[in-house]
Amino acid sequence: MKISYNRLKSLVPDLDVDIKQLCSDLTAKSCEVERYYPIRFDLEKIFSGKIVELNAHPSSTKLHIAKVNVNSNSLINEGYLQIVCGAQNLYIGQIVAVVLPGGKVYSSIDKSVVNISVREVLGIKSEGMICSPRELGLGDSHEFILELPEDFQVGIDLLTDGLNPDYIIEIENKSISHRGDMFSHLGIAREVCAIYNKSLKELSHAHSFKIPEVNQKNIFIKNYSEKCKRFSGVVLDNLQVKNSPLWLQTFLYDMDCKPINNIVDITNFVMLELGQPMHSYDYEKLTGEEIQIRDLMDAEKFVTLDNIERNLDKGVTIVGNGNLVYGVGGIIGGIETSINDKTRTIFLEAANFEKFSIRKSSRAINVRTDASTRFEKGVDIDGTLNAIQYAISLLNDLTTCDAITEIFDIYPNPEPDKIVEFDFNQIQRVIGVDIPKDKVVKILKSLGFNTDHSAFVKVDGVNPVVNTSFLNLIIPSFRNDINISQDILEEIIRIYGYENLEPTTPALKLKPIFINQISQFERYTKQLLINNNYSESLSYSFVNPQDYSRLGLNKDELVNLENPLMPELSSIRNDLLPSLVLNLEKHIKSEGLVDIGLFELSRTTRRNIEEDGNYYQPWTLAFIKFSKNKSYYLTINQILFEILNFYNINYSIKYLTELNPESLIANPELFKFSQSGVIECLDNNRKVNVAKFGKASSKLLKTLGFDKNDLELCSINIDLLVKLGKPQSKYDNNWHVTKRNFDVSYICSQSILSSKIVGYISTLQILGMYKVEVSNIYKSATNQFVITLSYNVESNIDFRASLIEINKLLKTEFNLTAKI
Amino acid sequence: MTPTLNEISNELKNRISKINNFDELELLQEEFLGKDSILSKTLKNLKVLPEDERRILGKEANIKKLEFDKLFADKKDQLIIEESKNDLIDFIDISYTQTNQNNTVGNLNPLTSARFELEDIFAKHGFEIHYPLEVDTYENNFEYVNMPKGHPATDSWDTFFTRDQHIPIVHTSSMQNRILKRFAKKLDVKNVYDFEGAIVPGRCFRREATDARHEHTFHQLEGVAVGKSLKYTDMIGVIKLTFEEFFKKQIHIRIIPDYFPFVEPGNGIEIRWDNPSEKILKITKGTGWLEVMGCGMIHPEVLKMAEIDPDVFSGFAWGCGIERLLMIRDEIEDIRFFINGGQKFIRSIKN
Repeated sequence: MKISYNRLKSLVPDLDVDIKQLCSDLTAKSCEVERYYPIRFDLEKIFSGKIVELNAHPSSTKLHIAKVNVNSNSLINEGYLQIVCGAQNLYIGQIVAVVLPGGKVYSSIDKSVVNISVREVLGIKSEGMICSPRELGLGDSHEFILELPEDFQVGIDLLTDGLNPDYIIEIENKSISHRGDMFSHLGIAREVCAIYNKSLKELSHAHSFKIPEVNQKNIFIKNYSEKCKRFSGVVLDNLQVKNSPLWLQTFLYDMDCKPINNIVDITNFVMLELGQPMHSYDYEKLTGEEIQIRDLMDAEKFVTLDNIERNLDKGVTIVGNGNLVYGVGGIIGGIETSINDKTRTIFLEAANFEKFSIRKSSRAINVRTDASTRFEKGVDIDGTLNAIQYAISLLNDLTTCDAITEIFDIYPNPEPDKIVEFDFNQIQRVIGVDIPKDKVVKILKSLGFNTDHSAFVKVDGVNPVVNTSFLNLIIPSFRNDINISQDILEEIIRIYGYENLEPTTPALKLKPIFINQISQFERYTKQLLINNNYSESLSYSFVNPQDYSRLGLNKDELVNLENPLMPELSSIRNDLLPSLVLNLEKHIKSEGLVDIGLFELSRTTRRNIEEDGNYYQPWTLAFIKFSKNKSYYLTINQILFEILNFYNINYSIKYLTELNPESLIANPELFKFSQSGVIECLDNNRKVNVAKFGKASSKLLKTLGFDKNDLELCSINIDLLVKLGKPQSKYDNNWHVTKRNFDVSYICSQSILSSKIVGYISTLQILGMYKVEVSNIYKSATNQFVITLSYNVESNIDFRASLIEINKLLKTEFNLTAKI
Repeated sequence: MTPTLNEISNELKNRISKINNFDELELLQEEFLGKDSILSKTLKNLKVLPEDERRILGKEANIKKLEFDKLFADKKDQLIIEESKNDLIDFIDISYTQTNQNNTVGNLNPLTSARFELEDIFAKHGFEIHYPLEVDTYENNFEYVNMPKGHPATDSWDTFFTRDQHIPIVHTSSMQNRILKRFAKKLDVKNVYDFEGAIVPGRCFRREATDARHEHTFHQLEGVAVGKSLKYTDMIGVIKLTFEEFFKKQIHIRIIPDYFPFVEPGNGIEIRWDNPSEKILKITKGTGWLEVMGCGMIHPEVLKMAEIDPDVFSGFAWGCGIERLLMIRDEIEDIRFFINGGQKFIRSIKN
């Protein structure tokens, strides 16, 4: 929102701080000033002038030679200037803004400052320039020159009369979204008064108008809508519709509000000044003597004053009569009843609408206006009559204006005074600062709070007792954001000054600290992974379902967004492996083939709904390892086993070849069947998969263009892991045994499970045998794998003989050959 | 009469010593070893000489040829050294080898290492660590933080929705109700100094266009504390203390008005340190004040919804963007680098 420094000063006459200080104080105590900027300080020598002669340029069809009377003593030619001008809307008798030779205006091209001098245009002397609005820093219009009202005096220095240089203060709307009252010059002026302890100028309604004793026109207002909280209006007659005076046009341009005509401009001016939106209807276009405010029973089409046909939904509040719609209440008027040049009589409205309904309607019909913005934030319920009186007094200055009805005021449910109980002790208790009572009262008064009811009467038994530490504050009607005593606290400390608060720290009571298991897991595994040369790779939680299809995954298992930013980010991921694989693809594309390990730890979102009504969102750790060269060994599971052992979890490894197809893990498409597996654990006697791991399927490698390279994948469900296991210190009482490990690769002609072999060897009870485990899968879990045989060195046996013995047994039992 | 090979040799030695550039050296080489040189001709004519003479002269000529070749080669080396001396003047003391391109340890994303730092700082001061859901209900995102359906303030949060009206969380305040409820059970009513605090770092989502300062996916760190005697000034003290630990320098704090429906009073916090860099001054239009968070005293309605009596307990809460803190501390110019920068960006941060 924009605020004019000049207007602000006119509302706070003894404001004596400069613009910079003002903006910094507003930001510190009231609302965020985004920026402020000077306007028109660069302009020089701009005067009003009258075109007295107009001739065609001899060598151009587009240019005119205008003789302009600027009536200035300092000039030669007795106050007449000859100006060559290209504008098409010139006529004799027109009052225009002229920059004299030696003056300055803004360039119509880039708004830089241009010096104007006497020069020749195609052989004709031109002494100055007739200005367009843009050249004077008024908005963007440059098609026509700026026209001043025909009764405007000639020879006026416009820079001191209408085109005054000013500062525009831009306030961040978000910082005042709860303060409807601050969407106006008056609201900001009140803040300024409170900050500097100044007093607000009384708005004069000096042009007292005669309320007719008998209404010359009959008009009846019927409010059928609960959303319309108050509806005030008056019929004004004998108006003359014309251009607004320069000062008003300038102000509106500065506020980004396009001047239309004097009537509309005054309603806009009152809204910008007081914050009360107003609307004017051409009275002659209204049908019948009744004006109804009602909610639409059915959807309807309606042409708004911007000449666009819009669909009004059922329930939208309209102003109209019978079937006729004159305007959308609180949002926008209609083109039928809008003011035109011939309008003589108007119905002037100042109403108040319920803020939630305005917000809903303005969204439904997709129109946001200055009025709807204000109603949405909440407008002073007591502002309507004031606004009408102010508008009448302003119109009286610009045109003839007679009120021909009394001022109507339909206010079915008057809001009672809002009273908030405030305890002075709260300041010390909640804020932590001691502010003297009289200072608190002074601050509250400066903000418009009525503090006269300071004596809180507390019924103690039978006798009422006056409690001086309490105040019963009456909240001004424009502050609909104040409801509870905490709101009052904020008012006090912001005006008191946040800079006057001394930081303190709470006393710390020592007690056992809650350990977040996810956090603990994250610290441990991320350290483990980076130590093993894996790097973290973050991706968006939003994924492209097309990518899932490309990778051979089922995109129907994803949760989809209703309103994605773009189709590429339209679903929420249910696994981290696809993200890692896609990041790897991106990385290899930009940096070339490199050996690299990547990991990510995050929540993933599954479609099934949990007891708390939310999607199941398990924490997941995934890591992948890419090598330039093909390798037939599976190695990624080493890190997985390290984590599982650290968490003391009871698990069994199930290779995909051992599993029934129906118990296959999610996204089996990513994994190579013969060299992948899952970690199976028992959760309440139910088998669950804590992790999946293995080589990438050849289909995946092909899709990524990595068929000549090696890729291994692993993904862990952390929620299950931390539920079923716990990091615990463990003592190995066999620590003194020196172990010796032998890795033996076995090849089998038929399919047999490596785990079966391990089980078999364990039952043999071989002398000195310490541990047997599958340590690697070579090509397939069923016929080519590596088994590690650990012996106790001190058992003093012949390892070689023992190994030969084992191999012999395996050969006969399973027809298994040790690979040499 | 043709000069003898010895005479030629002497002449060459004399002339070669005076040469100081490659062009002259080349001409000289042509003259003494080229096709038309006396030496070449001598060697060429050998075959017409009688056997004895051929052997003696041949041997002598070949020795001279080797001698000449060496003279030229040496001179060439000498010229190269002299010429490169000039180039090397600046580098004379530096000997360099190619660095090892292979990493031996991996890297964390700076968002993770910064979050670890923040978690450690707050854990040390007695704050619990909780993580939010990524997709949560409307109630947790808005209602439990005092924004009933249709509240205009929800406009400030550009919200994504799933098809069944769940919300990828718009802020980590989505956890406030759950955490406060947990605290409600733990708080010791009899102990005036008892307080419970927690931080919630997590991923948040806003449906807004991305640029150097905005991302649809970003990370927030929420703080919540409730106790019998927690005051507004305690909040400022905690924020100042923990920020000084994170930024590793003394900072000044400025409180500005701001509005969040779930706190009252509600404020924005700006920080500044002494001698800010050129870059920071540029971002802040010369003031050095950086907006880092929103904060305030927890709204009584929010406490009530978590079954905490606002007349007995008070609390404060704040929320800040982790990316923003890092961008300020490490002067990173674009928020999009954190997720989109890939491994090259991650490796660019040393910590």
